[in-house]
Amino acid sequence: MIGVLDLLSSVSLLSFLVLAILVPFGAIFSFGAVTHIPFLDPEIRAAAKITFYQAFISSTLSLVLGTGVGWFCLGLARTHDRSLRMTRSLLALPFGVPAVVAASAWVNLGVGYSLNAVIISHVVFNTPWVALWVINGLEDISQSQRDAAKTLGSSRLQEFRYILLPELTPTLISAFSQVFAVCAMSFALVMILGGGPPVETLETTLYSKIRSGGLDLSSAVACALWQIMMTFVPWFLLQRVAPRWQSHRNLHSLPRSKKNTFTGWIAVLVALLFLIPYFSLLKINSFHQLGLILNDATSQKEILDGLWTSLKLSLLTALGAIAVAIAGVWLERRLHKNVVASLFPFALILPAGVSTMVLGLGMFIAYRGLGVLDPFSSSVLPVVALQSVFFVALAYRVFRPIEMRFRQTEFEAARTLGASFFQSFVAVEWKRWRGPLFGVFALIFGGALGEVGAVSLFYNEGRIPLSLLVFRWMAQYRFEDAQAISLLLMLLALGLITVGVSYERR
Amino acid sequence: MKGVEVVNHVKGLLLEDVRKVWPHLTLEASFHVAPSERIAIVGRSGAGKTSLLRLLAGLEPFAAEVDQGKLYLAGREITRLQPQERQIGYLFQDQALFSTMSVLENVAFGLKVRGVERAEREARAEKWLKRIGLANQAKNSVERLSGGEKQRVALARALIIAPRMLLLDEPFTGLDSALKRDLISQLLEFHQEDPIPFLLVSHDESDLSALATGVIRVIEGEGENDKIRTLKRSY
Repeated sequence: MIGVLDLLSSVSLLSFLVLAILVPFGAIFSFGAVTHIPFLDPEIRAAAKITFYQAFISSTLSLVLGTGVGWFCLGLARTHDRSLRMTRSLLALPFGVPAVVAASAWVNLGVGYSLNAVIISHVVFNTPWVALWVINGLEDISQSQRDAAKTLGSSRLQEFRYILLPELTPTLISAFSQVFAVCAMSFALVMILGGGPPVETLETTLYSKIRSGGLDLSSAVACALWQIMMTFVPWFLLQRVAPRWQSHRNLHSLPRSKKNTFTGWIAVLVALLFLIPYFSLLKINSFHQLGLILNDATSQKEILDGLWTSLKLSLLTALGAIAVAIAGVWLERRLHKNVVASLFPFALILPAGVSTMVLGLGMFIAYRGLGVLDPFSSSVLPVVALQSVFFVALAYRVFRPIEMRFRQTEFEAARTLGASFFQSFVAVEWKRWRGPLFGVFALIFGGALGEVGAVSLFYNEGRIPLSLLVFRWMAQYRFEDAQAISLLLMLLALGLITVGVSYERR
Repeated sequence: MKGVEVVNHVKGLLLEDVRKVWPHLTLEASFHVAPSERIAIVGRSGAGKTSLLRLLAGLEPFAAEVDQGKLYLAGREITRLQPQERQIGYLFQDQALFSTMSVLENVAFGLKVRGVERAEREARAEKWLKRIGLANQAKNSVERLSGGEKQRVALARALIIAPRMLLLDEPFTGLDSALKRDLISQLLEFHQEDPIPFLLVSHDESDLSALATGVIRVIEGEGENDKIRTLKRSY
C-alpha cells in the first residue's frame, strides 16, 4: 500500500531528477543535435587540452603524494586513538576551504597567474583528501590478512606490494577519478590563479561564452560536450566498476591507546601542513582590514547583503539536498530488490560528475523565459537546484547505510504498543539519525557558502553572495578587501565543516 | 634460518619464564611442548588465549623494557624475531585469506615471498590443493568458497611453508559437525606426517578432546592481580 510518505518521497525525488538533472542534461544534447557546434574550434580545443593537462598532472601528483601522506600518517598514528582522530579531521578540513578563499590565500602568498599556480593549488587542495581515502582504505584491510602475510614470511615491502596495494587499488582508482573530475571542473581557482588567457579551461571558456559579452550558445555547448566526455564519462564508467567494499573496519584493528605519543603528534603535524597556505590569511592585517571595510557604509552594506544571500542560498541548498537524499534512501529501502530502486544510487551520485557550468548551461537552455525556473530571473530556485545536485551525493552516501539498517521489528513493536509513526521513529530511529543529519546539514551549509560556480553563472545585481563578492573585489584589484572577506568566509566555512565532521561521525 | 643460531637441544616449543605485559593483560608462562604434541589452550573468553598465539607468532613484539623471558622453537631462540623470520604456521580465526588473490595464489603466497619460481610454487600449491580436495577451485576467488573450504585453504597456506609449529585459533568456528570431523582427521594426518607442535584454541571442549593430546590452562589472577594470567600445563 502506498502511504503519504511514499507519495511525497516519490514526487520530490522524481521532480528533482527530472527538473534538475534529466531536462538540463537533455537540453544540451538536443541543442547539439539541431545546431552546428564548433566542436573542433581551435579556442575550444586549446581549452580542452589545458583542462586535460592540468587535471591529469594535478590528480597524478595528488594521488602519489596523498598515498604517501596517508600511508605515513596511518603508520605513525595507527595505535593512538586521539592523534589518528585529529589527523583525520585535519585532513578533512582543507576540503571545506572555499575555492575563492584558497585562491585568495595563494595570491597573498605570491603564487598566481600561471598554469603552475593552478596545478600547485589543486595538488595542495586534493592531496589531504586522497590521504584520507588512503587511510580509510588501509584501515578497511583486515588486520588478520596483514598478520597472515607476516607469518607467511612477507617483508614490509612485500606486504605492501602483494596485500595492501591490490586491496587499495579500487580506492586509488576511485580517488584518482574523483580528483581528476574535481580538477577538470575547477572554476574559481582557474579563473583567479590562471590569470586569464592562455590559461583557459573548458569551465572558464564556457562561462565566458555565456556571461562575458555576447551569448555564444554553440561554443558553450561545445565546451559542455568536451567536459562531459572528459569528466562524466570516466566518472560513470568508474562508478560501474566501483570498489567492492568489504568493510573489516574495527573487526580486527589493532588495539588503540587513548594516549598520544611523539609519532602520533608527527602525523598530526603532517596533516596540519596542508592548511598552512590558507592560514596565511590569518594575519593581523586581514583582521584590521575587515574592521575597516565593516566601518565603511558602502562596503558594509555589500558585505551584509552578501552574507544574507549566502546564508539564504546555503540554507535552502542544505535543506533541498537533504530532503532529496532522504526521499531517495527511504524509497530505495521501501522498493527493496525492485529494479527502480537499484537505479537510485546511480541517479543520485552520478550528477556529482557533471560540472556546475555544464548543468547550469543545460538549465539555461531548458528554462530561459520560464518564470521562476529561468536561471536569469531573480528566483533563487535554479541556483539552489544546481548546488543541491552536487551536495545530494554527499548526503545520500551518509544516509544510505543508516536507512538500510532500519530497525523494522523494533519500529513495528513500537507501533503495536500504541506509538504513532512519528513517535515510533523518534523512539527507535532518531538517535541514529540526529548526529549524521546535523553533520550533513553543517557540511552542506559550509560547502555551499563557498560555492562559486552556480552563483557566478546565474548572479544578478540583487543577489551577490560573499563568495562572489571576493571574486568581484579581486577582479577590481581590491586584494586586501578580498582577503579580509576571504578570512570571514573561511572562518565561517571551517567552523561549519568542523561541526559537520564531528556530528557526522557520531 | 639465516642469522639464527641453534642455542639449545630442546625440540619443539619452550617458553622460559616468559612475562609479557599489555595495558589490559599480563601473561606469565613457562612450559614445553614436544613436536609430537597437540596442545589445547583452555580458558574463558577474553582470558588471553589468542594473545598467547599472537605472542608466539611474533605479532605482539617483545618490549625490551617491560617484557621478560625467552622463547625457543626447534632449538632456536625466537624471542625477538620478526613474524616472517619464525617459520610458524598460523590458522587465523577468520582465516584471513587474501581476498584479491585466487585460491591457488593464496596457497602459494608463502612460497612466492620466499622467492620460489612461479612454476615450482604453483606445482606445489596444486599438490596441496589436491590433498585438501580443492584442486578444481584453484583459479576461483576465495570469496566463492564455503566456510569449510576456506578453512582448508587457510590450512594448506599455513602448512606449505613447512612450519616449525602450527597455531590454530578457533579452527572449528562456523563448521558443522561433518566438516569438523573432516578437518580434525586432516589435521591428525598432517601431524602424523610431519610432527610439529600444534597449539590450538577452541571454546568447545569436545573439539579439543578429539584433537588434543594435552592441555594448557589459563589461570586468572584475583584481587590486585586480576590482570595477570598464568599459563599452566595439565597432564
